[in-house]
This record gives sequence, structure tokens and C-alpha cells, in this order.
Amino acid sequence: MNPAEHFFKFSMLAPELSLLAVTAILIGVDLFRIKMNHALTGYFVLTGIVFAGALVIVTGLGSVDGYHFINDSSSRFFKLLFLLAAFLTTAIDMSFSDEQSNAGDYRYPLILMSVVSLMFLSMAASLVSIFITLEFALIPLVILVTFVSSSKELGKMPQRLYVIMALSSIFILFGFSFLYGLSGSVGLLMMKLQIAVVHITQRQIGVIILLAIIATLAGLLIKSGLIPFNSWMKEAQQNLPISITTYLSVAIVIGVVAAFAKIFINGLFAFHGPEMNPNDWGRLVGFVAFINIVFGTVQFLKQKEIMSMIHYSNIVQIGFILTGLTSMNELGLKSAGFFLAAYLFAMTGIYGVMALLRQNSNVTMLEDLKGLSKSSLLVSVVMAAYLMSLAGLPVLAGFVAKYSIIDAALETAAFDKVYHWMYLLAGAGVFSAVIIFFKYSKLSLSMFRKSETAAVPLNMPIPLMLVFAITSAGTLFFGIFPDRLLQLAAQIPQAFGFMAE
Amino acid sequence: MFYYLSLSAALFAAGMYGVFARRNFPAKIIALFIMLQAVLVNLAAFNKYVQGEDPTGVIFVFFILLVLVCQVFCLVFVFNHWRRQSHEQADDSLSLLK
Repeated sequence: MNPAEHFFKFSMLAPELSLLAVTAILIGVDLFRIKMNHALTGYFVLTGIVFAGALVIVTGLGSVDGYHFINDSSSRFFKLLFLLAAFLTTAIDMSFSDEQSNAGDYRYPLILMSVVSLMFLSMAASLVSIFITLEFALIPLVILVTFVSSSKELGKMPQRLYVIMALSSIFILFGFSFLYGLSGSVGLLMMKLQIAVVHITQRQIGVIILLAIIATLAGLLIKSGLIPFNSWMKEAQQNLPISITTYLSVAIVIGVVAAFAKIFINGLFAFHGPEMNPNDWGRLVGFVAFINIVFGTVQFLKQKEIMSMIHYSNIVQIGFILTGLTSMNELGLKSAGFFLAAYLFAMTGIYGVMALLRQNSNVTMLEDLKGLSKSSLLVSVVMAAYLMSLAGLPVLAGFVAKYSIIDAALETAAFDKVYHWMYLLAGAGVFSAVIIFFKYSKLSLSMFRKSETAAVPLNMPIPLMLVFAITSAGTLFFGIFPDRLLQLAAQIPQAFGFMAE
Repeated sequence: MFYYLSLSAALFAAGMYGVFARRNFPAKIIALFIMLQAVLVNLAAFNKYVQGEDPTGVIFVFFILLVLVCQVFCLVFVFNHWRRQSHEQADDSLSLLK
């Protein structure tokens, strides 16, 4: 191979390598026992992430190694989301350093290692690379949770997390082994073509594809903590420090969605549609999305504890994203990308507010939020903005996200009689959006009502102000001007070969 | 290939039973490794009977083993934490999948 050509390909990994350099510096600093100010370390990491983000924008597109990693336009979009999630997580962590001081100086390198793996995942173009990157995104997180648990009262959390992560990986691998057996290839592009050829020539082996689809989907559902495998995620969100919770429920979930899109929309493209029954993954995923939206909404209504409510709200939001992906049209994929960005802004903002409230007062129940404006008007306003964005209030990003997802589902449903079941999914989406809107409106209004409890002074650290500024600006700006973000999200369907109508 | 796939299915089922039935952390880990063996048998069998000379499946197996080494390092870390905790408490991680 021409060395210049080799170098050119190597340069495509500039963002990942720059983050790895930051990680190496942090580990080196710790190794040589150089005392570094906590805030300084945090700002160094933030600068590194911003620099990596700039490199993502300027780095060219193309194949990195000719087979396993392809840096396409969708990778760029996902990389920016992962970096933003890492930036906001680090900023939240910096604001409340003593919350997990027992994690030592390892937490930033561990989070950065996980982000680098997620960035590689966004470029993964084979079953091998998807598996490895997904694993290496989660291993640092399990280590981080174990560090944190050594002094916090987290009980058996690390063991549980380890068993659940390993079990989900084995399910995914079991599915992958059948996909490899049927296609004879681990590359997604070859798999896409060869599985379709095998299906046309030997229809009787189709049931193995169903097994592969179910095993892979089960593994991904366990990893992302969706219904019916959501209990571990609920416990993690309730007990882990907020910064880790933010990373787990935002960055990792976006990573799993990216892996899902690569495996199903790209690799198993031919197996979507009623003509492929019983091997149609579209109906299966549609059913999962329906269950998550409906049961998530019902459970959401019952909750009185804030973190549990946020957990079920997350489930409903991911159900919406799955609806967009199941639609399998240009609008659906674009809207799912937009939804992921809107979800990231709103969720990290809410977790930021929760971290602030936990630090300054003992706020755990929904009724504790009553009269929050007395403590801090700014915090109440931004919290109301995040909640109403998730609820789908017009002029906020969440509205555009939900509207376009439901529009995409209706577009697919209207396409042919055999897709009429998508009307049910769109109906569930509307039903859920209305219910969530009412509950979040009530909650937002209660924050501005008078309460008898005394006002708690909220000390807001500078990094947390940065989090609120970025997330609230993103929520509002992309709500009013969604076109910019929609254009960026349109790179996802473009990378998967979907044409705009 | 039928025999290899049957062996793989049996290993996977036995491992899954172990993961769900046992409440002890090390026992769960052993069961998880049995499930992993099922995947490796599957890949090796498909590589031999579907691919012939092309070693893609075996390379996949080596990559899985590579990840497994990292998983084991992580496991040692988690296991130390587990040992520090009370041994009497039963592990009920899978009840979380309800």
C-alpha cells in the first residue's frame, strides 16, 4: 500500500486519536503523581472534546480501513452527538466533584475511552467492529461504576451491571453468528446482499434469520434498558451518580440506536416489509416501539418519584425513535436523528437540574419541585423548558421531533395497505404525546406556584451554567429553526441510501 | 453441521438456565461463559461448512476472545468488589430483567 494513502486513511481517525491523547495525558499525570487541580483537569478534558469536535467537522469522509470502518456522513452526525454528550457529562461531573471523589482521577479517562469507542461504533461497517466497539464503550463504564460503588452505598450494582452487559453481548453475538452463517460475510454491505440472495434461493432457512433478528434485538433492548428489560436501567438511574446516569442514558442509548440502525436498517434492509413474513423485523420492532410507548406512558403517569418518572419518560422517547427507524423512509430516519439531538439536549439539561437539586436539597419526589421558582427562577425556567420540550410544546425542539416522527409513520402507513399497522403506532404516539404533555405542563406550572416550604439557596457552579446555556439554547434554537439540524440529520438516511422525495 | 448447531443450542440453553436460575455471582459468570461457548461453536461450525477455506469466522472468534480478555480484566475488578461485600447476600441481578 502506498504510505501516503495509508497516512491519509490514518488521518480520518484524527478526532479519536486526539481524544486518546487527552486520555493518555490524564493517565500519565496520574501515573507520575502530578497534582492537578480538579477544575483544571475538567477544563482540559472539555477543551480536548471541543478540539475533537472541530476535527470531526474538518475530517474527510471515506473508508478508514477498507472494510470494518467507514467514516460516512451519518458517522459524523453520531460522532458530534457523542462528543456533545461527553462534554455535557463532564461539565455536570465537574460541578459536583465530591459526589464521586472515590472514583479518583480515573473517571475522565474512563469516560473518554468509552466515547472513543462510541465514535468508532459510529464508523463500524461490520459485525465484528460493531460488537467490539459496543463492548469497549461499556467496559469502562462498568469499571467506573465499580470505582464509585467502593464507598457509595450501591450494593450489588457493579455485579448486576456486569452480568447484564455480558448477557446482552452474548445475545447480540448469538444473533451475529447466525447472520454470519447465512451470509458468509461479516461486512454489513456484503451481508445485506448475500442474505437477500440466500433468502430468494433457499426460502426454508428463513426461520434462522428470525432467530438471528430476535437474539440481536433482545441484546440491544437489554443494553438500552427498554421494556421488558428496563428494571436494571431504572435502578441504575435511581442510584448511580447523576453524571454517570447522564452518560448511560444519553450517550450509551444513542450508541445502541446507532448500532441498531447499522444492523437492521443497513444490514437487514431486505427483511423489512410484510412480504418477508415471518421474518419481517419491521413489525417486530414496531411492536417493541408500541409496547414501550404505551406501557411507558402508563407507568409514567403512575410515578411520584422524579427519577422514576424520568426513566419512563426516556422509555417513551426511545419508543418514538424506534418508530422513526421502523418507518424506513427518508423522513423517518432524519426525524430519528433530530429526535436523538432533541432528547440529548432535554435529558442532559434535566439531569443537570437534578444534580443541582440533589446537591443543595433533598429533592426526590415530584411534589418537592413545587415552588422551585422561589429558590431559583432561572433553574425553574430551564427545567420547564426541558420538560415541555420532552412533552412536545411548539417552538421547542421536542415538538418538531415528535411531529416529524409521527408524520413519517403516517407516510409509511399510507404507502400501502400492508403497512396500515403503522397507523396504530402513530396513534399510540399521539396518545402518549397528549398524556405526557398534560403531566409535564402540570409539573412545570407547579414549579411556579407558591409553596409553604422555605426557599433553598441554589449555588450554581460555572460548568453547570455552561450545561444549562448549551442545552436550553439547543432546545429553543432547534425548536424555532429546525431546518439546520434536520439538514444535518438528513445525513443518516443519505448514508443508508435513502433518497429524499 | 446439524450436530454442531445442536451442541451450540444445547450449550446456549444450559447457559441461559444457569444465568437465570443461579443467584450466586460466580455461578452466573460460569453460565455466561457456557453461553459464550455456544456462540464460538456456532461461528466455527459456520466457518467450516459455509465458508470452507475463508477464515473470516475463525477471525471473528479470535476477536471475541480478545474482547473476552478485556472482559476478564474488568471481571477481576468487579469480582474483588464482590468479595469485599458480604458473601451471604444472594445475587439477584436477573430479577431486574423482569
